[in-house]
Amino acid sequence: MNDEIRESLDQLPPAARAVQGLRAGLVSRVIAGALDYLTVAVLTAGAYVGFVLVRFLLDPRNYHLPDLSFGTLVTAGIVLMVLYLWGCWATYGRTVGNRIVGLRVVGRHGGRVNWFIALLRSLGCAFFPIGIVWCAISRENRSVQDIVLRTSVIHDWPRQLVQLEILNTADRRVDESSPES
Amino acid sequence: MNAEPSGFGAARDLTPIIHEPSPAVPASITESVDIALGAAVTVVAPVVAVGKAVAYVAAPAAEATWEFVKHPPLIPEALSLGGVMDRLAHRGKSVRQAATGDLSHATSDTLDAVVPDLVPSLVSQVVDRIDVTSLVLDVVDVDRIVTQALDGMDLTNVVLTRVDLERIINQALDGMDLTELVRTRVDVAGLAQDVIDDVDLPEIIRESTTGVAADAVNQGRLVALSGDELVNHWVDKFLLRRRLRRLETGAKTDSDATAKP
Repeated sequence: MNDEIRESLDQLPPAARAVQGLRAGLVSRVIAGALDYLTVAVLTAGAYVGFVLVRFLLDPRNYHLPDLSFGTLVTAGIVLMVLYLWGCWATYGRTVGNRIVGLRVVGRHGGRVNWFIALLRSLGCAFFPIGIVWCAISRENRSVQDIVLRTSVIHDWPRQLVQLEILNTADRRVDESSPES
Repeated sequence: MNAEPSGFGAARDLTPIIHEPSPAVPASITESVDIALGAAVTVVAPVVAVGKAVAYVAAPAAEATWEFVKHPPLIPEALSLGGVMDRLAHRGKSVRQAATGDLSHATSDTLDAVVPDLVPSLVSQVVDRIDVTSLVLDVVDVDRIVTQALDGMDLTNVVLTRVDLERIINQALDGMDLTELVRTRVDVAGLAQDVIDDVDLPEIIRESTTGVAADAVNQGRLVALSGDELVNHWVDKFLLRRRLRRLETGAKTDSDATAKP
């Protein structure tokens, strides 16, 4: 019965099943990157609003809107982007954009990238975003950052991992309780 | 009922359930008739006594003469006075027996002639005078009869084969305002509340919304996937590249987690 539930959880369209684990192409990665830019923009705006609120709470009587230059905002955005990409890739392997598009950043041997590589990759993506275009030319769908750091961006549509783990645990228990054949 | 020593006619006192016949003739008339009858008997008695004496003396001769008249020689019996009288007597006897109800010595011919006329009126009289319902309830073990009858019948089958259930139900439904009935008899609000309480509506909405969103996201991913392939195809064509791209990484994906451990 667990197999039936497993089947129902396995909702990947047939066309998508074949590409799981393969390196992603330019369009998917650009869409994911655009979503990440959007996320960072929202984060930056949120940080700005938070900054304004804190200032207002600290000194409400002499309050005035902070006069932040465009350069300051861009700098803040880049810093946030680096932190955001670094944290996401090092811990989870995916950013928000990666998760939505169904991508994951993996290291040289297919595992999660370490903190150092993740930091370098996030710096590379933040300061040299055009490097992504090389993945259309590369025979291995690798961007400049991927070639330098030996990383890959693969198709890996996220699943209901918690439910799958429950199922796998249940199956193990069934296997253990059933008599040896 | 079996404990009764004999038939109910002898053992039971049926007077409480037999109606008294209403008096047919008023008392004043009966008294007048009695006086007239007494006077007539007083006058007639001596005459009868004399007649009896004369008859006693003349009887043998009269009897012989009467016999001769009844059965004269050389005349067929059927045409003789005796034959005619016998036939008349026979018929008269039948009528008398019918009228008096004395059928104990009646012949079958008599019964055939009498019973069809007699029985209906007789039964009618009996039924008028007896409280049949009380009699049956008192004498007959109705419960046992009904129980035995019901035991011998498949009531469901009888109803199914003999009763036009559809017509009955249709007529019953036609005569009812079901909406009004439900409105007055059923606690619709309570029922609805119970159903809502039992159904986890937020969960259903959440699941269906999640499903729709997941489908939309999957569609978007597939579009991006085909975009990838299109770009790769054109770039490879432009670079005159003939070999396929090497896209395998050997990385484990979430899909692999679905495989049974």
